[in-house]
Amino acid sequence: MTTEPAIPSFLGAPVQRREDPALITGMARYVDDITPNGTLYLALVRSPFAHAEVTGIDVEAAHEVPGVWAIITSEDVADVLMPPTPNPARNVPRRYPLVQGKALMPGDPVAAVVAETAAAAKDAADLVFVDYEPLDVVGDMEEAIEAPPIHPEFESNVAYDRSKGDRKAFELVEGPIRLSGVVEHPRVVPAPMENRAILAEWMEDGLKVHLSSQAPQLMQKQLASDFDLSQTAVRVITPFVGGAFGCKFDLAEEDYLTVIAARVTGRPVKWTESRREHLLTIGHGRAQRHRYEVVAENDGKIKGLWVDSMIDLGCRARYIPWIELTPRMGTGNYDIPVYGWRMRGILTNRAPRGIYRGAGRPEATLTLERVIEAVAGATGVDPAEVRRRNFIQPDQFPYHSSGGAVAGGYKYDTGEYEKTLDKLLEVADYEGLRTEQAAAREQGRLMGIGLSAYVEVCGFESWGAARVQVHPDGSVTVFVETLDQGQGHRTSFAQLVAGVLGLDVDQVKIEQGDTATTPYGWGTSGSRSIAQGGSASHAAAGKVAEKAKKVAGRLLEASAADIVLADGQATVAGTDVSVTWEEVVTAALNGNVPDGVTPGLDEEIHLKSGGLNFPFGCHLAVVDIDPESGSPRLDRMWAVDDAGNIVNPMLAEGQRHGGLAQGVGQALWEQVIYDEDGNLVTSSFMDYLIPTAVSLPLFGLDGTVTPTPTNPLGAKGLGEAGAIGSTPAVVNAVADALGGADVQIPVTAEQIWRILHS
Amino acid sequence: MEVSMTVNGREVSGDVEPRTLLVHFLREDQRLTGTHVGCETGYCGACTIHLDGKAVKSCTILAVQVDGANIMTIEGLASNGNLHPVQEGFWERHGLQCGFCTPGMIMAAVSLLEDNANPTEDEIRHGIEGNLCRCTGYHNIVRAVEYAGAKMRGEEPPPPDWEEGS
Repeated sequence: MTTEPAIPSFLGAPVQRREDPALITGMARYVDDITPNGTLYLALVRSPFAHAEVTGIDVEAAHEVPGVWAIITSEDVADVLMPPTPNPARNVPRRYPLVQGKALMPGDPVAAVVAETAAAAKDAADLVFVDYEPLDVVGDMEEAIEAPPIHPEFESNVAYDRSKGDRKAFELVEGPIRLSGVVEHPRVVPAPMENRAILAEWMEDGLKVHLSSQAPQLMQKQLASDFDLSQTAVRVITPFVGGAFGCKFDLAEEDYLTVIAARVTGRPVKWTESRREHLLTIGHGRAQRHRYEVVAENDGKIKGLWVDSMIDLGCRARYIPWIELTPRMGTGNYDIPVYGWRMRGILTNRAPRGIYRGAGRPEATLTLERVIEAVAGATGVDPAEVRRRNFIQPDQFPYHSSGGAVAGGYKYDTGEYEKTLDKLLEVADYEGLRTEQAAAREQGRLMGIGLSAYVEVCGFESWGAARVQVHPDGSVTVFVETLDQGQGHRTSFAQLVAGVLGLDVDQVKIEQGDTATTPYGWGTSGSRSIAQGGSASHAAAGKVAEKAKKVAGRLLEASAADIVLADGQATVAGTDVSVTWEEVVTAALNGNVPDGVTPGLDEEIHLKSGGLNFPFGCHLAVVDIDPESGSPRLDRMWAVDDAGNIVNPMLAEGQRHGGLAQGVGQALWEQVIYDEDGNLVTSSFMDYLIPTAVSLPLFGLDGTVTPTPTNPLGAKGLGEAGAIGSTPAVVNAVADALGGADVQIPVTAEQIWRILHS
Repeated sequence: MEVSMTVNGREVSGDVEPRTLLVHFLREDQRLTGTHVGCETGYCGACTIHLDGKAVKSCTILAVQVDGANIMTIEGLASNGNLHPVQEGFWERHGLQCGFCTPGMIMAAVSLLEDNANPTEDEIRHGIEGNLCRCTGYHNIVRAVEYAGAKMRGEEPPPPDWEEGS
């Protein structure tokens, strides 16, 4: 950790992506593109009921289908272990690859068929006859509290009930403005364009798995543990990943079944998720309901905030440690003296809740930004001004948020929130927009302007790992634990390493995703890649450079401290005395090194970071509502983000665009819908609406730069920011167009029409 | 059933079940895995290819329906190692991230520009409306198509956003 970031020369350059030639010509391989000879295919028999006893299963007809190799049923997997570890204290039930007696959600896997073609496997799956005894469905969270437990081994569907903060102190907070309200965070689906996929093979030396994943090393560790193998006997390979957004950070039932099927048949077995299966069974995001109480002064200054939350865990737990991210980020950008929360986790007959871009921060931010709007509405103070009056000030950092130790917040590193707000109001011409809005209203047009401020937490797991290998021709391979799913690490990390070694970016190759070669680490999640993997790559390159300078110093009869690495040369500073990088590498590899220096240049580092980092920003949305249909249109959108130092502005803009789009989708269209019987209504892209090209505008981007002291690059996370800030900006804009109406996401045309006609 | 067609300029044939979709014939029989499957309901467009010069979704067509047709997939778009201007546009303007929708998106954009050499932003958006992307928010895809359109008209492409902004 350094407080004065050393910035290499390539930092900040919009270097073209080095992964693109393969992707734009169809040469890139994703898991489903890989088919070894003899591959068999897995298909699932899934429960059509949300809640049902399985009373019988008949596989005879399925076995008659030509090409069927095996049918796996419940008893075959009754002793298989799966994550998460059961925890009776928090009602975390044991999870099995196939239903053991009772299906708990629509699509719960009941049996698996392995066959020579995917079509034969599906044909046979259709011929597995299962007898079900349907049970009452536990759907809504409020009803689930009193309903009989869906897991009979537990006393209730309330998996846990936790609270932090001083409720008495909150009740004593005085202020003329006292408001309360409900903010819904419906279930949404990550829906990367590539669904999940796995290819498993049992080889002479153990298990080889191709997996579309965010964290191959963690998956290797989990598989080794659950199949009782040494980690040396499990190799996970992740080729190109077609997006993940959080949903490829774990192993699910189908992954275990594929591995088991490969062991049973002795052949490679592949399973590729269908879009319907994705929508049915992937970990859904958000799934919370918040009730807030807020106390404020007439000038908009917030004195106290209490948030009572329920989180719909679905039928079984998936990601235990992430759940309290929301209340821990509950005060966001604001200095709120008294804060506390309660959170109940509720089990229902729904798909398990999982990680989706932002994972807890979007929920915290949406609720808080709706609270700010409510305070603005009640006080008559402009919403921009309410935010400004409550911002944590730059001299308060490091700042212990969310009620400090009392309510278990986070220690924020750096922030200048007012600066991003000022810049946003300037680039979007906030005053001009308000004038335009006044004119629009006179013409009877429903134009709305919505603001949001966000701060989020990034850089989880306190270290990153990378190894730099220098080849005899001077080219360099970096093996890194993080895992690109479209972010462009093969380019941005190469920039960092090339900058330190004075090489061309094309001389540096980034290798990721093969546990046989890459160091152990947490992979890519929670916007940790640049801060952890990037910093580690940069630091490992720094160690290589240090050694190379010693070798060059010996060749040039100069002190290592005087050697500069640039333009493929090692030069004595202030002179034209130099050797080429290749000569330095040759000397190092041949043992032509100073006393006390070992031959070779390769270095590996597990770099500890100085803690979590907290990027922030402000977004502004302008919507127009069609008074006839209620249909909202996002007309304009600006984002001013601050993620510290930026490695590649082109890639950074791409990340922000994508995040904004997902946040807008959540605000206006996206939601998982179940009917009264617990059936999934949104089971295709015809019903689950992700944004299309015609539903979005071009985005206006700007930024400020407040580096973090927690890593040598001064870089903060960026991948999730857009999805966190944009939802409340759009919702606030719709509410603004409707004169401050109480709206819930997604703010559909139907909801708006009802408000207009009420 | 026997089926033959021209794929990327080469005569190919195969023995397929009548229910085999064109996308599966291309991916599994021809091993042309650049054409992707993203939804199997004809909605996402990741499987877009050219059928006799027009962009179509290959998951909505049976292989036997296109017997004798001329098919082009993403693998056949570059000629003699030279990228098509649309491929170049996607690279130059960061029109892709994970790349999974990209082959279909590129094939749709090529077709769009063949029909309309100088589309407006709105026309570009409508032209690729049938292709879903979850990574880019379409901003840089619009920019990529603008770049390609300019190139194909022999004009200087507009400068990238990131040199002016952020």
